[in-house]
Amino acid sequence: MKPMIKVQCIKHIYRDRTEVRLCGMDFIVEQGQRVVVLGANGEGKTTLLSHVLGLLKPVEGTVEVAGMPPYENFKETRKKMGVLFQNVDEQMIGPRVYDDIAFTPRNEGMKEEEVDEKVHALAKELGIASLLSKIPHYLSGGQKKKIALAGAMITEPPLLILDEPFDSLDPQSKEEFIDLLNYFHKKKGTTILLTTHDMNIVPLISDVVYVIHQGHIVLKGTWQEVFQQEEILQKAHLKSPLLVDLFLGLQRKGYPVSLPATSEEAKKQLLTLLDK
Amino acid sequence: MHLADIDYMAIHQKSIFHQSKPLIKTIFVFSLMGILLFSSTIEKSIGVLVILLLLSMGAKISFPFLFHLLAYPLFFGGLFSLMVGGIGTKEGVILLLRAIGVAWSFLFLLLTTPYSDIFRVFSFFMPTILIDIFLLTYRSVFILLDSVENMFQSIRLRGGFHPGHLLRNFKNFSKMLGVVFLYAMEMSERMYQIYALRGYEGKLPVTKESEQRLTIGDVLLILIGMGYGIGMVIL
Amino acid sequence: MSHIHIPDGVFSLPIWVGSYIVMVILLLGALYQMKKNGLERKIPYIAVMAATMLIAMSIPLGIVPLHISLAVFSGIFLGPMVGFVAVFVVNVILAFMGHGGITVIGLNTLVMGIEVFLGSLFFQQGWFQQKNSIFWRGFFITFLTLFISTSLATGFLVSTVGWEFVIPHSHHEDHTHERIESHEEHENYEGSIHIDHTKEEHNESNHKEALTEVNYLFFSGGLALFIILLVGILLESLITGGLLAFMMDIRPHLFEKNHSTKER
Repeated sequence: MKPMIKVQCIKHIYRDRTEVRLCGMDFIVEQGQRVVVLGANGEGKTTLLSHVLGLLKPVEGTVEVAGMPPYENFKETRKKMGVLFQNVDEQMIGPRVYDDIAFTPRNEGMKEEEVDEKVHALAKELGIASLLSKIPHYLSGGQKKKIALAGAMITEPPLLILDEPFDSLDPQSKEEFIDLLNYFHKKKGTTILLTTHDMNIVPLISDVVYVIHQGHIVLKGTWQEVFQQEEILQKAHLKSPLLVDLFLGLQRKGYPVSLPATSEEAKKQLLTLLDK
Repeated sequence: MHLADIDYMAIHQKSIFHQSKPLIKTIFVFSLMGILLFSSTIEKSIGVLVILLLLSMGAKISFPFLFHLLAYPLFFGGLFSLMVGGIGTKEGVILLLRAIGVAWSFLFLLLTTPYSDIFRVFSFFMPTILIDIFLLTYRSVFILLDSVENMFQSIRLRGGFHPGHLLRNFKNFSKMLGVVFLYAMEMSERMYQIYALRGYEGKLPVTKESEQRLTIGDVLLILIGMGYGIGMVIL
Repeated sequence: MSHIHIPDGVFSLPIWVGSYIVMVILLLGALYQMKKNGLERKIPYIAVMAATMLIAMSIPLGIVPLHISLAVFSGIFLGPMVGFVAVFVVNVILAFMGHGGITVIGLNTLVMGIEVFLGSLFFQQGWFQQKNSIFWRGFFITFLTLFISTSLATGFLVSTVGWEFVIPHSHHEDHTHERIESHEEHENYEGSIHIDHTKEEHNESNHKEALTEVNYLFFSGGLALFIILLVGILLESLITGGLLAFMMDIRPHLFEKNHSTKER
């Protein structure tokens, strides 16, 4: 099966003459995978996403989405993607929640009855049916994220791309949002590609993790494999989650523990250890 | 900036006129404007203001806020009515009533109708590209206002605006505007990108009104409008 | 700067209808050009520029009863057609909020449209380019543009409705009451001296009174009016120059005409 996304050593020059490169390992996202891209600020995460979205064209290297270069085939590739940018206020275009969610299918010429059915069904799935007649500006950050997610998923695209989606969310909203992403991944087989700073959520939402540092992809693997590379993470100005750090320490001391994804798993393992 | 308060009241206040159809309210308001602009008697103009007073009470509009918004047309209307003939003359009074009346009519519309519904009515006679610009401008004002207010407070707290230093104030003011403009420009780039990704090709499709039945507010506005119009013709 | 805060009913029908007709023709022309040149991607740009102008207009300058409009600046950055559309949007929203009458939208758009057009023209033609500093270039272009537009607007208002309509306003409501009260007092005084004056004389004396009521610092009357307008023009020119200098410092590539880009 062809990979959903493939990026090979790209270079781009911005209007203000800033040059950015992204090389190192090939960046590959297989169909049905959940991929998280980690990296400190300014390391190249947004540049990578912009190329994948077809917003930037590389002056060197190749980018393919569903087998096509996205910049040249923007109209085709954009139909395969749902997108969530960091600042959802800027991406809400509909005057009311209903209009915002219905935006893409209407643009694609879908019949109004069909649009109505889809919007109501999806709003129900996401728990935002009561917000459909509201004006987005007055809603909370968590509600806006869900609306933006609905807007991105309404046409059931095979690929969902999110840029720092957990910023400005409180812990409960974060948890709800992660559950929703995993729901789409499980139920509809959606491929997910997201960037984040929040190391704690990586175990909850990833199959593969990439780490970018100074325009190079320096690590690739499962979150367990990546978080064990402490030295490389440190060079990339990243730190593994507290629990993972703790359990890595226990592993080095010879304790038979595995790296926990959640505090529940960690608790269980610790209690088992203490019982022994 | 009153736009945020006006918008809040239009959306969150509940009254029979908030439930009325935007198209009927718009036609009503333009009719009132026509009556005011072409009326040559004080009584007819006062009649319009009485109607607006009763409608504003029915719409539960905050009168202190409304009169604050009417301060501009009141001041200019008063000033120009003095010039035209003096505030005691017929021409002066009509001019003053006209200025207040037209402004009040449109404020009644703004305070009882969400902006998206008003612009949807505009779409009957304006090109869609303009409607898109109006809708996006309105959204952008709210997004930028938050940034501007924070920035203004931040500069004040850091001594950037000081009564005694005019030149420094204007320098800092220019820089603040520059930052706002830069942010606005970059925001517009991001907005365009996301809209393009969501299939935008030059028209913002907006939900058409599904409810065809007239509400009590609609009936009242139609009756008042027709009644006043007929009354004006007869009298 | 030249946004006219005249309420509805002041201008006669031919004037406001005529200005609307001219505005609509120019607006449709601008929109047609935009569609033809594929400038729809500028739609968010126009919207945020209009929003920025609205916000800038809501900030009082303090030392003069005027506010900046950024019309010249928008002409420089958006170009004449796109800038004209932004100015129209701003005027409609302002009129709905009671700042200037609905029937005056046409005239206001044309006046501010002149600023957009001239600002864009002078900048593109490289006027004042011998001044190395972009600040001074922006300053002189804005000053000249606003001087022309303000003179044209003033001349138009004077010839159609009278001097008093050029009198600027204050953002402070205390002044509102002071002015109206002082006008009334003045009127009563005049009435007690000229018992048999005709209506025209009464109007003319009211006009002169209105002008003499204009005070700024140590000046009054027409001189005060001139100084207020001049100070307003100077301030907007300084601010626009400062803005351009800031943009040149932070984003110099925006001033380059042809820059190759592979960006959507």
